[in-house]
Amino acid sequence: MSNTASRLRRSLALLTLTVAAVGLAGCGGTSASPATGDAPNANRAAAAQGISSDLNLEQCGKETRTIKHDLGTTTITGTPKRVVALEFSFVDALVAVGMAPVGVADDDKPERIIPGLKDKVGNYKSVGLRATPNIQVLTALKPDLILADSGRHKAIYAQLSKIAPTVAYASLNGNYQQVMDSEMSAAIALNKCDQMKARLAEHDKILTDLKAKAKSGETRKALFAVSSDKEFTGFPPKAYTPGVLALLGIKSPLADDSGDATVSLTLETVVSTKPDIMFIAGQTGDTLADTWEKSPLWKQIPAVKDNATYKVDQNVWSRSRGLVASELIAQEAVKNLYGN
Amino acid sequence: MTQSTGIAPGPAETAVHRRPKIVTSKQRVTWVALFLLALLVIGVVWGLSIGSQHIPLSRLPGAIFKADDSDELILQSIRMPRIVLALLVGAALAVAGALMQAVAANPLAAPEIMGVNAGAVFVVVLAVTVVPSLSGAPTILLAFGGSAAAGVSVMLLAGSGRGRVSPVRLALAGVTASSLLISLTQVLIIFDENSADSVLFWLVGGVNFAAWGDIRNLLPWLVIGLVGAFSMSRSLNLLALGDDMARGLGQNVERTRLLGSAFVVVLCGAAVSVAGPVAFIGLIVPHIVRRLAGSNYTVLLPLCAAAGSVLVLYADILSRHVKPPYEVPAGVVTALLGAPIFVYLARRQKVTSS
Amino acid sequence: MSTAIVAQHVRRITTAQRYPRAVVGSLGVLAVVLSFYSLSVGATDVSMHDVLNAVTGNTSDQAAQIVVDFQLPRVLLAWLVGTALAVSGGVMQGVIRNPLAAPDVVGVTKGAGFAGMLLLLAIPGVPVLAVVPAAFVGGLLAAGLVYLLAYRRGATPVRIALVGVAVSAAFEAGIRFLLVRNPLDVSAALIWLTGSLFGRSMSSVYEILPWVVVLVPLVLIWARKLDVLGLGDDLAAGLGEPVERTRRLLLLFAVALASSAVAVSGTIGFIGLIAPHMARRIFGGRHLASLPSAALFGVLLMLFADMIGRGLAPPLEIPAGLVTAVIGGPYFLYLLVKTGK
Repeated sequence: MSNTASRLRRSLALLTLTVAAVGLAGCGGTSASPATGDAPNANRAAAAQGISSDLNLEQCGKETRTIKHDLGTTTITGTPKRVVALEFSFVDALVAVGMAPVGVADDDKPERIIPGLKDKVGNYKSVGLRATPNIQVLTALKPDLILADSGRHKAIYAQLSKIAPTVAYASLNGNYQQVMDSEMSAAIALNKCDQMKARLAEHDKILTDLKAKAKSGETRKALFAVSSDKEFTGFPPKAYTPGVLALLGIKSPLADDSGDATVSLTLETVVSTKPDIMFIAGQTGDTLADTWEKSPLWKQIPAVKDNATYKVDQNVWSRSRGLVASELIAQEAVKNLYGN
Repeated sequence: MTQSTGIAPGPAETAVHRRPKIVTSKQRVTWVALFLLALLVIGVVWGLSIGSQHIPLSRLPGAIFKADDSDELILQSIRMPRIVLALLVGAALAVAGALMQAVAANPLAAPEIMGVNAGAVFVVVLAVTVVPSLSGAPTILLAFGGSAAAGVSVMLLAGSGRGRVSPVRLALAGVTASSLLISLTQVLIIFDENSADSVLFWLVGGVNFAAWGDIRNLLPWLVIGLVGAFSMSRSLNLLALGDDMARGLGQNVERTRLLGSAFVVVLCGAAVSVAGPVAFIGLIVPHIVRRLAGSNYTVLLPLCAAAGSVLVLYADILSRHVKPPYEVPAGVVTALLGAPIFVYLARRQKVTSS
Repeated sequence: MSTAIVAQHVRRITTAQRYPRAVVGSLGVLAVVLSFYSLSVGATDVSMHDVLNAVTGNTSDQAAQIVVDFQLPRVLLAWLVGTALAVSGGVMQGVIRNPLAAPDVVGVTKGAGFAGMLLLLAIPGVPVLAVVPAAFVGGLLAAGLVYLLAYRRGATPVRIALVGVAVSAAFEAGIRFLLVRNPLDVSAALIWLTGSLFGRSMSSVYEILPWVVVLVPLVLIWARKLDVLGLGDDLAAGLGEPVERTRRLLLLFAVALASSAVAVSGTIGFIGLIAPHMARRIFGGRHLASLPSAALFGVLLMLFADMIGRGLAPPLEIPAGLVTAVIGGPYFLYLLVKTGK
């Protein structure tokens, strides 16, 4: 009797385990990344200077503005003076409208703020890691606006809102369109619409000029990847940097359907995707790319054969994600590829 | 004491009982060996033929001998080292597990449970964070230090020096030490976001990025470890009879233990520093093989090596189907396969406590 | 063997056992003092004066606002999480009759962690609040699974511990699978997995409060039953205790406490393991005396860990779970040596 009971229990338990395992595999398969999952406005027709149409531009210039953002709606009165940026792209947004942040979540590594921004940012207070900004330091800065990442800071959004009005956008995993939208939306929040519109127009012009320098009908495809000691991470077309390159007419060789912000690549995948150009942001120390360079197979990659492999700065090419960064990326790409 | 501390009817009794059977089951051993060999061959062929590029196997001879076009180069410089590394790492970890179970006279002693793997990972990650330019051969030596320190501490702390330690005590001590080392590793990674991309590798382990250079670094240590382990099989068989009996038969029990532990450290440290902590190989493979082919270490150790190779090889093949065409570390697959078997083994332990 | 230890502890009468109230009292005072000190520690200077102002409800200035909004919930959570983990660990060690048992060991922590991550990663956009019940359910399910798998004509303590270790490993494997499958923001996931009070607000306090308020007194009422269980199954049954049923209920309480703690703070390790030991060293094996002091030790550890985490390298925050691991790991290993003799 007790024997059958225990056998029953055992099978029940094993069944639970199996179901859990199968469920696990299933869930894994269907999950979409938050970044690409909620980008309904990304491909919509642009209204002004490449900005999505559903931004509430009509709020511009009002004393009390209602800002729609990824984590809700926030009302802001007056013109914020003390602003804290919890991602690097928001530092860019502030600089774009002629402001400087009072605090930045810079991972306590000031060198991560790219040269094009650094001199305009001046002195600021570090609020710690981007993943866990120090709320106490943040409060002590007495900000009147906080710019947060809608993925990373979702869990502390309520607390941030207590300190100051907080608007949150996809930055860490945001694509080019999302970052552009966040710049404009942040400008509405900052009550600096005109400055941002002017800056976006300038940005537009810079990129158009750069595109003019690029070869029209470019058929070569460029892979952007970050190489660390045990990973070679490729960025698919929907990611930020490939989005910038696409503006110049340079496409990514990776498949569009991955649904992930980044993908781990092996040398074989790199070889078989046949990139004609490679931009590799290498981290300090010996990275996987350095090891691969010694392999004869590396020389089979079209980008290596044609001498079109470029080492780039990770802070500019992948961490910063803003107007300045995208201009620098485009400039560097054009300079490397077309020599001017 | 022996009974009340809950020692499972470890290798001691099993070996005594099965001894005569081993002779009669020679055929069985042969069959197991042939079966593993067949699996190995199929796995190698399968592993060589999958990847993002479609390459007919008729290119294989060319890949081995001249390798001048891209298909042949892919075979030669990507798929072959990957398979070879899978085989080597599997063999190393499985043999280390079998050795460890013999030395500790404890069925749950295994590199991943004793903190040996976590120790190696922690030291390697620490070294890479502090001195980013460090890589290759020196990290193997560091990994030895890490795994030796962790393994010896856990053994000593769990009281294994006296050879009387219950499986549960050992498991708890080891798991605690491992979890301490893993949290330390995680925090190193959190604060050094540079290596965040590598975090999964160091938490999970895999052979995705194998290169011949890795294998050159690894091979000498593996040869030392494996040859050393195989040459110990007679001593291990005697040890399995129990300390007193082994001593009576002229064994230097302490020396056998020390030597065995040294080989465990060499095998695990080398494997982990190159392939990360591929999970559960050292725990489950010896158990499975012991079931199939008996407890005679002369055949057990080589069969473990073969079975470990097979397991990691197939795990690596499976891992490419988790998220094709992109790569996922093989350690994820071995962890998912191994964990239920660990649960099964834990349930099977005959515990006669207090 | 473990019974022997408990028995040994019971026999040895320490000074502290002679004056239990004094010791518990001074631990309590220490915890309160540390709490106030903790309120003032952090990246910015908050004076004791501000702290007192804030606590007495005078929150007009900004320093006081920092204290009330951000420091106070963390200190309160340190009390609640520390208590929940320590009492849970104490009960588990009593019931499983193994000094090495703890929520971390029997699968609760990893089960809760796995469930939380599964929800966060599998359903993007799920409200953060939903993670708490998910982790809670995960912890309970994991413990239930352990019990079910360990059950063979009754679940012997050692088998529970052993199966717990294995089931933990299985959930750990699941967690890693999820990390690999969704490598979007690994460092955020790691911070949660390491356990931290970062960014917790009063709502977290309210989520764990009912569990602690209800279950801890319940466990204390049953403290004598725990003592009886410690005598061994046969003896306990002889004393008229329905062993299996009592064991199940007590384990359920312990698991619920631990799950609620993990749900709000992430997987903070080692407190459930070492706080009961510290208490037993002072008070011996009588649970009615040792459990409250275990709770106080848990609180002290949590306060200390959170304080160190905030104060050591500002503005960077070190997850409290790491600090407890660094303190708890070596202490635990020392315990192993000691109990081995």
